[in-house]
Amino acid sequence: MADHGDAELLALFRQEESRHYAFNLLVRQYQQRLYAFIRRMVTDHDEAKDVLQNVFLKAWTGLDDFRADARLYSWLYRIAHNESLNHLRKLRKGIFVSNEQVMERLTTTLDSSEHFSGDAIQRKLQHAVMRLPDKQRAVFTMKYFEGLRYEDMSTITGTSVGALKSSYHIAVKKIEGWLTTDQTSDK
Amino acid sequence: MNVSNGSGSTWKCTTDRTNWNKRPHCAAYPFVVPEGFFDTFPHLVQQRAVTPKARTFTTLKWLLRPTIAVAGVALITFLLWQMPVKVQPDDHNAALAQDWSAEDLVRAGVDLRSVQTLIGPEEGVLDPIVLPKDDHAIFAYLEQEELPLDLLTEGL
Repeated sequence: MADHGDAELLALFRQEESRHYAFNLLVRQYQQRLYAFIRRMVTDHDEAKDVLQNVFLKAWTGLDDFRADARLYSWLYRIAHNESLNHLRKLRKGIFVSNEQVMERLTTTLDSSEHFSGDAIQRKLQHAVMRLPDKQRAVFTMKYFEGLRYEDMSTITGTSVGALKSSYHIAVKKIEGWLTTDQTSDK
Repeated sequence: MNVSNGSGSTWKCTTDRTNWNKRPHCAAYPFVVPEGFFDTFPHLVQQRAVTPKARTFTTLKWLLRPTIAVAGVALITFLLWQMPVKVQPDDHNAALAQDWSAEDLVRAGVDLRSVQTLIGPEEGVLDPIVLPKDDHAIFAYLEQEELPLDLLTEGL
């Protein structure tokens, strides 16, 4: 399937007769990339599916008000970022649910062989990423795994480039520390 | 499928799981995605987007929230209004409720013997006033305390 430009998709979406077709194209164009990010954030496939659905449903209702000067991809990514954080916040909402319990739940899902196909190194790295606070995990995921530019990340998260660089640097140091400690303890 | 990464460059990913590991981006992607998920997902989203049921429910939910809140406030107000008001004792009752000494009772002209009969001997209303045996001392005490003299005969 060929890539469609933002202008083309928006033009199609704003015409009543091609609205559904345009939306279908938009979902097909961005679903994998957004899913990849959301899945890394929430770990479980079913939860990632629900979050991704919410992202596109919000896009469906908000596309009419979408400003043409912004990039569609950044806008969708921003929704995905916020929805993922909201989802994780909801997991912690219960009175008796601690951060540790949520982390345990995420890592349990990760450890389940049916959900994770990576090798031991990838698993270790992912475990370390899970230990990061949600917002920092999002920053690390966007930069390290998705290779986004800080300027794009700034648009997505609404955080300054400086703060993002600092957050990413701290996250890398933390992960390095955890991986080194784990390696030492393994010996 | 070609997917823009938002920074100008493009890379390829397919819905075919075997190809996940062939792409630079996908090579690092260790999560399992069910077969055919990305083929069916757009239809699923589109169905949900156009189904009025979910949206109606959301609208109803937002309408219900303030309704429930108003009803709750009304109920609490009604219950508070219905609650019996705690009656404050008037001055007379308050005076009676005070812990009076025998001396105060005598000063107020209360018949101590009848009080003693009413409350029983073990309470000992009369106990605080222990009259000395010496008559002069008794009279002096009664005068000093401005107590009625007939108390003397009753007390003895």
